[in-house]
Order: sequence, then C-alpha cells, then structure tokens
Amino acid sequence: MSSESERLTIRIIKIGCLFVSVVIIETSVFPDIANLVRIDLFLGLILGMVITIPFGTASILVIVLSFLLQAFSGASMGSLPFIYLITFLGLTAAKNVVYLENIVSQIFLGGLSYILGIVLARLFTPIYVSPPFIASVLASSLLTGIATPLVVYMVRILWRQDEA
Amino acid sequence: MGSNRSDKIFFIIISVLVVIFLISIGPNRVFNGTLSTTREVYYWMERVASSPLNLTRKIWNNYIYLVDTRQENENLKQELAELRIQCRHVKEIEEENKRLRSMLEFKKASYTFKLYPASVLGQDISMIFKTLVLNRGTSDGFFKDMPIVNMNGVVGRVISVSPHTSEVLLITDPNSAIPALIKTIKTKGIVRGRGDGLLNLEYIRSSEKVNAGDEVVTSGLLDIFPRGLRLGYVLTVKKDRREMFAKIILKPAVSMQRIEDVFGIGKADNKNN
Repeated sequence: MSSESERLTIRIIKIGCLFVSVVIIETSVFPDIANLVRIDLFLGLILGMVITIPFGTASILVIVLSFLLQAFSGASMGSLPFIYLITFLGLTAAKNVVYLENIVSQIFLGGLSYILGIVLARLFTPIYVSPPFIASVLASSLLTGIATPLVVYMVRILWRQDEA
Repeated sequence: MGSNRSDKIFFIIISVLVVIFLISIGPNRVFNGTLSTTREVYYWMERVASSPLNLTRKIWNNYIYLVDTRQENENLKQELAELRIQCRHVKEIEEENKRLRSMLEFKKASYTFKLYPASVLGQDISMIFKTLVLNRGTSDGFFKDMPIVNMNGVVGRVISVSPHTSEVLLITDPNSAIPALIKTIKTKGIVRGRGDGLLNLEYIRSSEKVNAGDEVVTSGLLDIFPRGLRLGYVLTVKKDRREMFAKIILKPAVSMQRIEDVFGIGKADNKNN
C-alpha cells in the first residue's frame, strides 16, 4: 500500500516536471520564435491525462495545474481553470465516443479544444475578432493539434515508465 | 461500487467548476499572493536553468570577444568627445528654454522620474490576454500600478508584484484602459486594448478633427501614468452622423511583438519651481 502511494507520488512529480517544461516553453520559447501564434501544450497534457491517468487523480491535477497557470496569464482569476476543466470534462466524455489513442483524433481534438477555449475565453473578456486575429487563432489551433500527440505520448511514457 | 465512486468524483468536480466560475466572474486576482509565489518559484528555476548559458556568455564577452577592444576604445573616445560637444549644446538650449518659460510666466510643476530597468522573463501563455512577466519585483523598487515604458512609449502597468518578479498588463490587453490625449487637438479620451494588437480611442466626439497619424499620449489623469507618454498613433477614424463618438483605432507606439528591455517609472518627485 505504501509502495503504491509512493509510486503515485513519483508519477505526479514527473507530470509536475512536464508541466514546468510546458510553462517555460509557452512563456519564454514560443513567444521568441513567433509571437502571433500561441501553441497550447497544456491541452496535450490534459488529453494525455484523460487517456492515461485515472479520472479522480487527473481531475485534481487539472484543477491544481490550471490554477498555477493563472500566474502566467492576464486572464481574470478562475477563468483559465474554468476553461481547462470544461475541456477536461468534454474530452472525458469524448473518450466513450472517440478512440483517443488514435493520433489523428488527438490532432483533431487538440485543435478543436483550442478553438473552443478561445470561444469560452470570450465569455470573460470582450475581444475584437478581426480577420488577422481569426487567422492567428486558426494557425495556433493547427499547430496545437500537431503538438498534442507529442505531449500525450510524453504523459503516457512518464506515467507508465515504472510499469512492467 | 466503482461507478458510485466515479459519480461522487464527478459531483465534486462539477461543484469545483461552479466555484471557479463564481470566482472568475467576481473581482479579478483574488489569490494574488499564491500566484506571486508561483512566479517567484519560476524566477529561481529560470535563473538556475540559464546560469550555464550566462557563464558561457560571460567568458565569451569578457575574454574571447575583447580581441578588438583597443580599436573600439579609440572609436568610443572619439564618440565621447563628440557627444560632450552635443551635450553642451543641449544644455545651452535647455537654459534658453528655461529663460523663455520664465519670461512667459509659464508656471508649471516639473517632475523628475526615476527609471528602473527590467528584462522580460516570459509572456502570457494565452493568446487573448496580453501580459509580461518581468525579472524585477518589490526588492528592486517595483510596485503595483507602476507604469512600464520603453524608448518608444508606454508598454503597460504592473498589476501584480512579488519580491523578484512583476506581472505587467500590456496596453493592448482588453482589460487595459488609460486616460489619453490627442496631442494636436488636446482632446481627451480613453485608450482601451482590443486584444488583437491594436487600441481603441474612445469618447472622442465625432465633431473633433482627428486625422490618421495624429499622436496620442497619456493625459495624466488617475495619477498612474505621467502626462505626455506616447501611447500610439491614429490608424483609422470612422465617423457616423448618428453616433455621438467617433470610432478611432490606434496603432501602439511600442511594437508589442518583441519587447526585451523595459523601464519602470518610479514615483514622481514634485518640484515646484
């Protein structure tokens, strides 16, 4: 029992390290490369948790990590956790309908979740939807979709490393 | 049994979701202290991660790169001499300016501001919101609502501060609103971020003569931004006879895509002459 909880702690620490990498890449690396697009790697992390991690543990991780993400955004307090928790629940529901292990469905869901996140964010902030803005949202959602399977793969590797 | 447990977890998550939603529609940044701690941890991790790179850079800059220093030194001496002459000239102009002001009995408070340099540590993770994290905090003299500028104009203001980091709300963020003034016609309005990289200038009457290219500066109201800092330039003006106010879009003076070094403006020392 104790070794089981120890294993769970180590796994959560590993996911925490992946989260820190995601934050550094999103706040420092991506803006230096291209400022007009924003790739959301956290969506890949959520999808990876939906696929790999038990529902109870994953939901707590999503709530805690998305609250920490709030420190790196100008979004009003609670709006990011709200958006990511909705996404998490949506992807959990999709688990019964879509085969999430498939890379194509991961790309599709990553891109779609990004666009839905932007739509939800508009609930909290009045933003002007201009053609250049739509173009950069579409480009960002495409790139987020492409990056999603990679993050999902990393979550799976980190969570299941000590198995077998 | 398992399904019952899953139902309970689902019920808890829905409850959390409702609570988060209620927090998010309330006043912003309820848990500022917690968030500052997160950024503080991030600051130290970034410092540790970048220390090998900084050491390499130091060795390169201080030893290997100094091969052509002698020639560079000569050039700099010459440049310094030229600048000294220019500086003397500027001082003369300044003296003349002072004389003219006193002749016109133009009585005005003169403000001196202390500038605090800072570098950008990271940018906002989301696409909609526009914030920066700076590598300076309360221990370096930064404070909440401190105006942040660079050489071209206003960047934003500090909204949250920890001992070594500050979060800056850019003027292009939809939550940003700054009292402004059109420099040519001296008409006051509010500059608000649009979220798409441009700004709106609001509450300018349709009857005002505003042209594309007009400079817009801070008006100094609310005492957050000092008067006269450049905000942007008028890009388009749309007037409708049925509308009381014109729809004016501004291009920010500062290119928000690539901000590296900025300055925080300290509290003004008011010296009445």
